[in-house]
Amino acid sequence: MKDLIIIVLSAVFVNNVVLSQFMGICPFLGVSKQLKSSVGMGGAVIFVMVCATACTYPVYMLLDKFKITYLRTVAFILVIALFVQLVEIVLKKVMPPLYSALGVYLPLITTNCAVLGVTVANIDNGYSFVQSVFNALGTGLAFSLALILFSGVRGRIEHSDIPETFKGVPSTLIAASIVSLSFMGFGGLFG
Amino acid sequence: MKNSIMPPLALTVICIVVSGLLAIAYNKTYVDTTGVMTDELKAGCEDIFGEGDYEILLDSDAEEKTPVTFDTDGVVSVITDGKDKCLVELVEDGYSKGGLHLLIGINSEGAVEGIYFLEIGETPGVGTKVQEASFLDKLIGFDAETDENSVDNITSATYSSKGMKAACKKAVTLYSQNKEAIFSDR
Amino acid sequence: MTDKKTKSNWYQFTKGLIKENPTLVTLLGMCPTLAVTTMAVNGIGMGLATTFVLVCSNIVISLLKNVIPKAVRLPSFIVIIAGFVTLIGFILQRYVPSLYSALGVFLTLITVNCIILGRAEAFASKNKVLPSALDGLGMGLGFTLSLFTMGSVREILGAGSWLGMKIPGISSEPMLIFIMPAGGFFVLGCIIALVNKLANRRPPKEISCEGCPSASICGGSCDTCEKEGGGK
Repeated sequence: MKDLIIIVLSAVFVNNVVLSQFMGICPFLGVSKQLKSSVGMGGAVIFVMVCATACTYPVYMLLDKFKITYLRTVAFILVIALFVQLVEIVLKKVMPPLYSALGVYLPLITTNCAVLGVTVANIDNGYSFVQSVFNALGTGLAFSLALILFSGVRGRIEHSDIPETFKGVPSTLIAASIVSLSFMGFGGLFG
Repeated sequence: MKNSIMPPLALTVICIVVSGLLAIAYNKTYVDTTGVMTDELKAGCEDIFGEGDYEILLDSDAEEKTPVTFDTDGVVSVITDGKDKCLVELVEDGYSKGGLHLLIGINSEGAVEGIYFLEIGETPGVGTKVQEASFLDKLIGFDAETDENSVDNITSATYSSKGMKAACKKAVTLYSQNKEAIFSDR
Repeated sequence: MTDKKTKSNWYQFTKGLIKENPTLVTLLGMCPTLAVTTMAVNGIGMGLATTFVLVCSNIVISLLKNVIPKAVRLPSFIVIIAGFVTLIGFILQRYVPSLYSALGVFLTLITVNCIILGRAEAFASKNKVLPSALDGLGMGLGFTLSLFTMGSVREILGAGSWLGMKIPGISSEPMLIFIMPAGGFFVLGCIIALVNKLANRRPPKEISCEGCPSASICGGSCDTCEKEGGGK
């Protein structure tokens, strides 16, 4: 149990997927304008990551059995794309209010580097199935944390007096660099 | 009816075609180098010890050519020239998993003679500093009795430095425990 | 809908280099831009690998544009792109292993690079083969150019070298922060600000949404795009 908690905590703080590993930047910059959309995107990402890991891990075991592990990129991204499409269809039919809250973010998640990144990282780090799921959970939480933190930061930037050239994306990126700097303080924690 | 059959069918066909083409490409480009003395390995051996007749220790009992690893985690192969020189090829975790793929040369006193980098996957500019002579010189002469903490880590490259030291420790320990077995084989 | 003037092939090629540079103008493909630019040579390597995948997938998708059913458009594109990414992985692993280990997981992540899917959806699926190929080539080279710029700045300031050659003066005391993630964000922000200044452009609208392939799925443009990004 202890190593599972360490996996989650180090995914969230020490090796934060967005701020240290640079995955999932596009939605991070695009969606973090408002708290509401950040929370929505974060929730959707956690869900997709955990389920995608649950699906891709057995797929990799299957590929390994037939010694065709080089097909893993194609297989994983296919599983993720199909899974997202499936979730969209199901949500639309079964829970329309949830669909209107989260649904718009789902297609964006297919191209989220972090989702493919975490499924590949689980294999490269040699995690067991349970460890992989917890790693995915931790990564999803890390992504949501970064998103929510950042929506607060951006809310403040909106009302600040910034030079014309730096308005918009440049100021957002520089703010991100300072947030990333602060997360560096967690380095070395949890061994 | 046709509308709901066609799309999944088209997707399946595309997947099969792509997989097939990749299988062909894989077989054309993949080179199995287990148990084979590659040019890279040879260059590493010669870089540390100079010219010599180096061979990978192979498990004579196994069917295929499997390198002897003395059941040590991370060790890929053990190379020797049959007389007194020994090199250990191993993969160690630095900051990134498996980021240090090294060839460590061990002299007849059981101490590190030299280190050759086969592959380094550490953070460029930061972790890759372990390749600098100023750090590597400190590791030369490392033997089974040396305390890992007596060698300082490089600032901001803690994990990479720790990985290097752990690798050296592994190599010298393997040598001191299996000295006879390594040189009796030839 | 509107009668599009058939732009010349030369235009298709050059637009990706400066005018519609994917990273600095349309702000796509941020992930590799920040991650692999710790050294200039890695930036070039990543850029060229992406260009290879971009050109090949654009050609194939353009060839198959009338064959792939609309419903499975995106998954099919993704599978084709993933195939080429795996292929370039094989080639690099065999012939340029140092670049292969330097790029690491980001080689696999080329698959979900917004640029490639974006160009496939926005251009290759609607145009002939040659313009698609040239569009891919231009975008890829523009991407490589911006990666090279980022990589050079970060390497010079953060490691005191450029393309492996040590620079006197800085190489003894480089500013390590530029190699770290924080430095990456910072340099990119400054470069984009510089590009905006040089192009005398208003602050761009909300990032990535416009060029994102999912824009059509979201229904035109995401409603977060309506709000101006920082402008008063």
